[in-house]
Amino acid sequence: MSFHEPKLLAVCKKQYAYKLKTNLGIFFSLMIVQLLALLLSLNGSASMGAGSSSMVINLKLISGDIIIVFTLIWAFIIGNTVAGNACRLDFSFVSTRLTSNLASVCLLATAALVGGITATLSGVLLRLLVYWFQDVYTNNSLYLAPLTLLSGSYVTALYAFLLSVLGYFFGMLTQRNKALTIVIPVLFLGSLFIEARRAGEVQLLTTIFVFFVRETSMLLFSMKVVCAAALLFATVILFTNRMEVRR
Amino acid sequence: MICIESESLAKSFGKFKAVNNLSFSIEENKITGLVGRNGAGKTTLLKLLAGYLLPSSGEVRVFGQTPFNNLHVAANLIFIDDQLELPDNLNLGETLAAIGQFYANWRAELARGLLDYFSLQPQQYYANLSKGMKSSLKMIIGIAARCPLTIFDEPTVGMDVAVRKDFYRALLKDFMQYPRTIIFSSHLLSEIEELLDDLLLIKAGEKYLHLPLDELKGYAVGFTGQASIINKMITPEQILYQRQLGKDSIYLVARNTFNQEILQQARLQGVEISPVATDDLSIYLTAQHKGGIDNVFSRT
Repeated sequence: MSFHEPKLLAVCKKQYAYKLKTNLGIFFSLMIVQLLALLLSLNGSASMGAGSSSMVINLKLISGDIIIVFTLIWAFIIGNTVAGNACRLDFSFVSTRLTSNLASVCLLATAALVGGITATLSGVLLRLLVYWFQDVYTNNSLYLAPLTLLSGSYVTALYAFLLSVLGYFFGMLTQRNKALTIVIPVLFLGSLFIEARRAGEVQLLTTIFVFFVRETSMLLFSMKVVCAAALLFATVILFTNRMEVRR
Repeated sequence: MICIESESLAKSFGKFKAVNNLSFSIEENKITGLVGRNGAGKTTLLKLLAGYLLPSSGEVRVFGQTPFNNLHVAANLIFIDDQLELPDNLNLGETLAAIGQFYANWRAELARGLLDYFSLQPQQYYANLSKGMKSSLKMIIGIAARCPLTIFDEPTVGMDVAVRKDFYRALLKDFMQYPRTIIFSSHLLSEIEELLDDLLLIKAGEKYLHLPLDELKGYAVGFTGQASIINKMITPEQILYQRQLGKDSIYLVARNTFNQEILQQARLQGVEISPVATDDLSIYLTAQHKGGIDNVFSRT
């Protein structure tokens, strides 16, 4: 009987490869989500002059870009999915909580990068479609400078990463305690309502939102996202470390 | 060398004690059968060994280390059971290749050969397999991984007799080539007894017996004959099982502490003496009530 002495990083790498293979579905869902968003954007751009559809106006108010918003929502949801899959699949084979979490975060980073790039490129595709099918649209904003494209992808990827880690965090919390599947949404929606009623007072959610969104320096923004993700992630590692494997 | 050591190990779920005060040790490179009734705590014990569960009290050590959330133990152990989750978006060939990456001793050719023998196509998908075929695939993974500690928790669920027998043989053959510690829990003791070196029998979460299989075979004897004669030679503590056959004849299984003379005497008085099959014996040993199911009906 010869023992195999495992190295933490080597195991993480193997697990990352395994996760990438078993979670390929998330990239398929990304395609669907972006295609859907693209179609909705097409429709939205076309009907904007009429201004008849209230849903379109709503979405534009939030972000101005349906594809990116959809990609971010996707990022949050896959964070949740990856957390669920990690608990379901990882412990079949060589794994500890630490390797499982590290491999998960690598997977989320990969997914966020792909999501960020494709979301920005979908924006280009949208412009092209508009250019082809609606001859009115021929001003300068059709053109995207390469640097803008790059920074757009980068920022979207960072937001997607942050949201996917947040999704992973909530996913793991709910794995730990099923009651949280109800408690967390209630708390979130509840605080949304409360903050909306108390305009002008200290508002936690708004403050957090502003903390990221109002940042103009790329470097500072990157640091904020990485630190926030690291904090969430460290919390996950801490509270899953003594968690038993359910199977 | 000792592979597994357990010291007054206990695990409770709420108020229910699934494993209670269990102390034993398993030597390396032996095949140990884990036997017990439904709910005796077999799966809980195996999950404690695999490091999936935290003991409520007591201690368990695998390769000299605490198994819970331990990378060294995880890398040298594989736990095969009914609930083992396999990816549903990979075909069988890809699944085996992906799993093989995790294990240093993985035998890819053996896995492929077994897959072929049990007529599983590498292009098939796990979700589309029948119950028995799913079990076969998991068993193939368990054998091909060649982990220093291999745990099978009722791996033969859904397999037909022919497949089960092939698997016992495959396991034994691979064990001879590459000895390792194997724990095999099963309800079909008579089928697996040729495989086993040792038997660990647990009852209501506690260790009842842990002995080499050869000793188990001589552990008890069966008596068939007149109740009055048999009851005279056996003390009530020895009785493991008793069943009424006719008006005053009984079948009785007792712990074997008899010398040849007593047995000879019994034979002369018309008592038939027979060996007890190991799986029957394990049923008698783990029974909650001495009369068996018949007792329920005779009371009503």
